[in-house]
Amino acid sequence: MNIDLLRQKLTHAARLRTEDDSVPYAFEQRIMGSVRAGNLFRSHARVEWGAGLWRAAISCAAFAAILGAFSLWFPGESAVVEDFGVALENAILPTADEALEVL
Amino acid sequence: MSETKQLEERPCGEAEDGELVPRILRGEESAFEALVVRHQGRVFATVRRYARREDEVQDIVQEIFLKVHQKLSTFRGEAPFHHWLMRLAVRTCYDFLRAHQRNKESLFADLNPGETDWLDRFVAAPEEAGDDEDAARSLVERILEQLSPSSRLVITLLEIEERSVKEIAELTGWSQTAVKVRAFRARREMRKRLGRLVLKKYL
Repeated sequence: MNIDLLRQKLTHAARLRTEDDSVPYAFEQRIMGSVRAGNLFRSHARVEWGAGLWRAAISCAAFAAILGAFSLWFPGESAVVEDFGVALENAILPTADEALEVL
Repeated sequence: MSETKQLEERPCGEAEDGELVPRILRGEESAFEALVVRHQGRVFATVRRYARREDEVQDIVQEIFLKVHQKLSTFRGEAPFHHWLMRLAVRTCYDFLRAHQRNKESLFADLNPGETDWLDRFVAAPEEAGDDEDAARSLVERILEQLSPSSRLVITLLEIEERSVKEIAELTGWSQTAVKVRAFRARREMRKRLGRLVLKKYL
């Protein structure tokens, strides 16, 4: 049997069929009811705000990740100092000493 | 009064789709209702290509319009509204097909007498079996139900609705290459299903 001819005939048969575009009575009321039930009209502004905040949050997270990666790969001098207290003292006291010398 | 303001004040039934969209986004319910009334027939006709049961059809149409409402802010107005709507409709129908893949083998067992008669006539004299008969249409429907969701979608759009590859790519979100590959596979799958049907029935 010629399967290709069968396929062509069946496809042509489907093409001849005009699809039914009738709509059930007052179907738009059903849709409007479900939209109202989901409170979608009022939620548009909220959704837009939410989308904006999410975009901002994603940008912030990406920036923080880049900075984190940068500080891990290029630690700099501060990573050498183990004791934060000593580092703070070294940074502040010389300035205070200089101020006292001026007086 | 500005021209824009005058356009905004047109009754919803007379306003263009592009005018209704910002009104809906501002919360005007009647504008959305007008949009639904205007396009629901077209959406029903599209959905009926993929779902047979009327309750399923209505549920899908409802889902499509809810998605329209939720995603309306992404409509940029660069193309006509009904193109955007059809994209949403076709993708929702595809999701439906993927979620409701039926038992494919059982469907061949119960060909009705009309379908059997049409096949018998085709076997006896292929050229004489009419393709405008109800039996041929219900037979092709049966075959389509047995295809994978992507094959059914691509056969429907490409061969039944006779859309171009570019149009199908826009509707489905697939690349043009993917459409061509899927069309090739879909035709092969359809031939295989038809071959199996003939084998079961006549050998």
